[in-house]
Amino acid sequence: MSGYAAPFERTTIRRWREESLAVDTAYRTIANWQGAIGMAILLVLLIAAVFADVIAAYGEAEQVRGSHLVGPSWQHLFGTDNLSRDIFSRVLFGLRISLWVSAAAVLGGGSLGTLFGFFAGYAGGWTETILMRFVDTLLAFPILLLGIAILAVLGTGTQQVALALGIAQVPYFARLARAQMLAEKERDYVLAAQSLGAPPHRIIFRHIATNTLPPLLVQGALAMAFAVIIEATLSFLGLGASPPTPTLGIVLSEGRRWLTSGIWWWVVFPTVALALLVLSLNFLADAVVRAIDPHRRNG
Amino acid sequence: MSDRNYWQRTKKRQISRRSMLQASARAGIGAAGLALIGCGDDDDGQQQAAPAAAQVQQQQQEQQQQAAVAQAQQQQAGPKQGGTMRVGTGRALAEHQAAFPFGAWGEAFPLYAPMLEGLTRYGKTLEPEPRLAESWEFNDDQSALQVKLRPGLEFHDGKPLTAEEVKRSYEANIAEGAPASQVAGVIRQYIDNIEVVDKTTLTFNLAWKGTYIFDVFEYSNVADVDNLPELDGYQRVNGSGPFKFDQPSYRVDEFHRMERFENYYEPANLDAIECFTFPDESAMALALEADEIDFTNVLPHPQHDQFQENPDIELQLGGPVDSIFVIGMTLKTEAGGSEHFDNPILRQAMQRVIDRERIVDELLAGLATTRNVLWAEHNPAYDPARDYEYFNLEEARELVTKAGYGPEGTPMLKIATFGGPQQEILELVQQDAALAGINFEVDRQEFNIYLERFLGGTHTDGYTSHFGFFQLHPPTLPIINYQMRTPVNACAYDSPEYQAIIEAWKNAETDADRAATNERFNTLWDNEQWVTPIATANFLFAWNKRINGFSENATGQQRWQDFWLDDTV
Amino acid sequence: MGRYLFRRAAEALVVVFLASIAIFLIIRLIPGDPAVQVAGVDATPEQVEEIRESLGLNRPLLTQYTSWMGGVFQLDFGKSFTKRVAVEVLIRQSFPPTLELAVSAYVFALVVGIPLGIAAAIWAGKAPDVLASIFNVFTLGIPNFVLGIILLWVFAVELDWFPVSGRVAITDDPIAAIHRLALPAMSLGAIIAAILARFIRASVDQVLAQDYIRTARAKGLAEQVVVLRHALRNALIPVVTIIALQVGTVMAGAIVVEIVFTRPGFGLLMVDAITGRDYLLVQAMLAILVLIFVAANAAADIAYGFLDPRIRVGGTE
Repeated sequence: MSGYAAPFERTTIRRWREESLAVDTAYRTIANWQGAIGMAILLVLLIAAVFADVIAAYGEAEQVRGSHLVGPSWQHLFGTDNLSRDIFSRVLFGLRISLWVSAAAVLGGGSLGTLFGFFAGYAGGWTETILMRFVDTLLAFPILLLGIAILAVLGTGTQQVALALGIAQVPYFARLARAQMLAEKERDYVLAAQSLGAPPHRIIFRHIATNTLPPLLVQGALAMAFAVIIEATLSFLGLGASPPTPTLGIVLSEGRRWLTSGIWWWVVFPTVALALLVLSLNFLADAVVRAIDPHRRNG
Repeated sequence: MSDRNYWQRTKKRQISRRSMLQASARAGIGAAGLALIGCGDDDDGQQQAAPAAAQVQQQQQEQQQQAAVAQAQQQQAGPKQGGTMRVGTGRALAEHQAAFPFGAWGEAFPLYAPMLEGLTRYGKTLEPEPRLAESWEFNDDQSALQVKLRPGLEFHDGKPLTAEEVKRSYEANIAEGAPASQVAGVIRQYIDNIEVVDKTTLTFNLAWKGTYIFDVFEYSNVADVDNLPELDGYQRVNGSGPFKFDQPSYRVDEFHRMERFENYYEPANLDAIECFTFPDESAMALALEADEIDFTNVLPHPQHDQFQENPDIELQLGGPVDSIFVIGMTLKTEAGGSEHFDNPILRQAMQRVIDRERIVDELLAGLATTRNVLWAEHNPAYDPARDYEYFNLEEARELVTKAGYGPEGTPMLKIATFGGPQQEILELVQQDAALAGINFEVDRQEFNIYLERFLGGTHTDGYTSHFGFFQLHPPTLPIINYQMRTPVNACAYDSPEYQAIIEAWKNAETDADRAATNERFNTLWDNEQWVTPIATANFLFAWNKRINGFSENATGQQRWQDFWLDDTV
Repeated sequence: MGRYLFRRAAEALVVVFLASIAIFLIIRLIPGDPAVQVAGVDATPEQVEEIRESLGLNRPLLTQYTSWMGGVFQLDFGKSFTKRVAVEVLIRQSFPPTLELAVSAYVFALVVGIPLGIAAAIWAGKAPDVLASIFNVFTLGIPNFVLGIILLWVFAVELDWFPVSGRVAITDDPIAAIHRLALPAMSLGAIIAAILARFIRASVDQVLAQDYIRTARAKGLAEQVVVLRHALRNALIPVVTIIALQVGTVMAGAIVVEIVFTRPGFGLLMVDAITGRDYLLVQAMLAILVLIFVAANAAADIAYGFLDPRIRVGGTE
């Protein structure tokens, strides 16, 4: 990097940070060691997942005759499974599907839950009470059980898993969004806007939504990490995507049966991929929490 | 020299897994000292079937001799009395409720079979051996069988087990409101009525002449009819077998204990058998390794390597009689099914896209035998000329074209599975099938859904499954097997010729008639096959060195009274 | 306080009622006919129909619901379709193992999670913080079904420190029971420990960032101890909520742990009941689960109210 460009960049970033809370939060997130590591890992995994077609030497379910249960080598970086499939390729494609499933679930279920919670919190009174009792009811069922029941209704498949996990996310986001709304509703700027006669939806979207976004992002990252694990567990219970489609959970639950016979590569590599994904999301969430902490912000 | 050294030596020789297991299987059979009549034939059959090279066979023989020596040393002491055998299974007693006490379910044998006994059981072939029955005799035209019970038989609560009780037990199977069972089907078909002659003698008047009746005995047990209401939920089991149920120990889906029944005609060696249900098969394998269970009949194939290295564990492959993996193809009916597999030529193509060798070697760890035909080798309908490797992608491709499909092959079909080894087999076949133009996706279903479609013959295009009862007399198959019976079977297959064959079996007067009908069936099968055999789904037995006395008969059943425990090992 | 308690209890009842309807409907939405399963693989359509009749599945939904609720009020949950035993017996048999597991998992979580969280906050960015992160990766990032089998393999088979399978009731032989509980409790408790550590780290961190504490910290070691005590008290308040909220996680985690460690209990029975379409069993078990969850949350709210009087004034939150 040339010495000429650096000061310019630094001042530009500072100016952006001063103008926008979002940029400031993002900057603080990445400036934190956890945030930096989390972001770096997540980026690598995202690239690996998005370009799986290019990076993987074999198809997601391609059987390479004669390569039955071979350990890691240059030809098969992560070894092969008992159907002679390349585990490296399956992990890449599996990563893609696991990411897709969990992101879709959290984006879908999260937005729905957030809107629900905002509305309940904003409306208040009986509307709020009734809506939140529905949320509580949904919350009372553990996510995994809810997932099992929903998949039993919908049948197995990637989209079904995403939908089941999405539905299970709704109450958590609804609760959080409502709590945020309650806290923000009493703030001076909202009261001021209200007294000036600003219409309700504008208040919600302009003021409250932007202020409550970071905590929801934190929840989103954690929920996504959790969704990846739940997807894996559902696969273990035989309710995941349809074979031979790989997800990290499917590769793991297939490989798990071979672990004690010394076939370690079938478990270790997908586990590392999964753990890195969960780790990066957790790190990012932690970093965001620190970045939005007002006490730290002033320091 | 200790056993340990012996094992280490054999391992260094790097014998293929399959030959090693087969060798030890035979040694095991010899050591058990049972069923000697059928043993030799069975060996020949296995050697013919196994595509092993001469060199491997030689190694096998050496190995067999060594194993026999080791077994003989062990044998010198003879069976010991006492001890408890801890059995691990993946099934639970409660699951076996609906068909209890009359059904048969290989995986669950250890859970309930020790409590119940039948009149006769087959040995290594379809030659019956005495159990509760001491002797039997046919009349001249084989239309009636007189059975004489052993003297002084008792149920577990001391109630005398008389000819009258046996008659009641059989009649209860087919009584109004009796639970549905496969055995009830054969009882209805083969038996006209039962007459009690005296306290220990009864006559079965047969609707189908000949020895078919022993198929009924093979899978039916004599139960105390007065006990039936309390059998529900296992509140009380008044059984007829060598071990009696210890009700207070029963924990649903977890555990139960069975204790030796002293008044059994041939009291068992063990004091007790304890059954542990393991929801996770990998954990069960670890429990065996940690010496928390002594015996299992359902060791998962992936765990095989773990134990091949373990000097304390005996492994044995079940005989090629337990059940086989198959792909079933559903014909088109009003209720559903496949317009594609409605075409028998496409079904013939399916038989040729399955690489059975690879499935056995790579998916079943070499611990199975390829199966090209339905019948077991000891079955009268078995035809060695038809038993050859069908895998041939070129031939399959030609058949697909002949069936009227273009270069793209069939549209995407759906073949159902509910997981497990069947699913892996289907995944393996998928790639080869696509090369030949049979395109299908693996449709994983929840067991419940799978079962409903299986029983109704309405799977979209096809399914994978286990296939059983092919060890019995040929006509039993269309009565008892879901994939073969008429008019409703899992493949929705029915045809006038098939009906005519079943009718011919029923009316056969002589063995020559029966043989001709078997051939007629096999010809139909060549052209019309709606179920493709793949490989034996053999149970992999494993036990620690303290356990002795294992045996397996022509239908994969054990004699629980023979097991004994050697604490000195 | 009385009014608050009353309102809280009323809300809990509403949730339980709504949940009972939801449970009742969801299980019937699932395709697959329980009568087919009960009848067994050999049943004729007539036999299936007979069984459907005898299970009362032909009656209108409302009748089925009211008769079920009627039974529940008399503590009669009916008979399991698949296990052929009274639902009550099954629940009584499956509950203690899961309760033992849950309690020991919580104990493990508290013992490990609290110190880990505090240490991570105090030495943020240093070794203890990194250690806490590594712990998080191992517990949150490795699914229980993999972690469990690894624990079994290493500690129960290779090292032979613990048994692989089975359970001894804690009332029969406490030592043997705990010996067998150790690995499953660790496997289940680790997740809660990780979640707990995160929360505690965050809340201690927040307290430490406040100005007066920074000042106090600057003054020296003696002050720091006082400060820590203060930070801790604040940090422990959310622990109550987390414990209550994680009841669901524990029950769900118990499913996998019970499978891997061969401890049939509530979780495993639940999965069996759903896959077996065992309506009455599912209904009863889910209802109990909801009751536990609602009770735990109500208790946490009330405890929270005692700890922080402002909440009582403000309402439910």
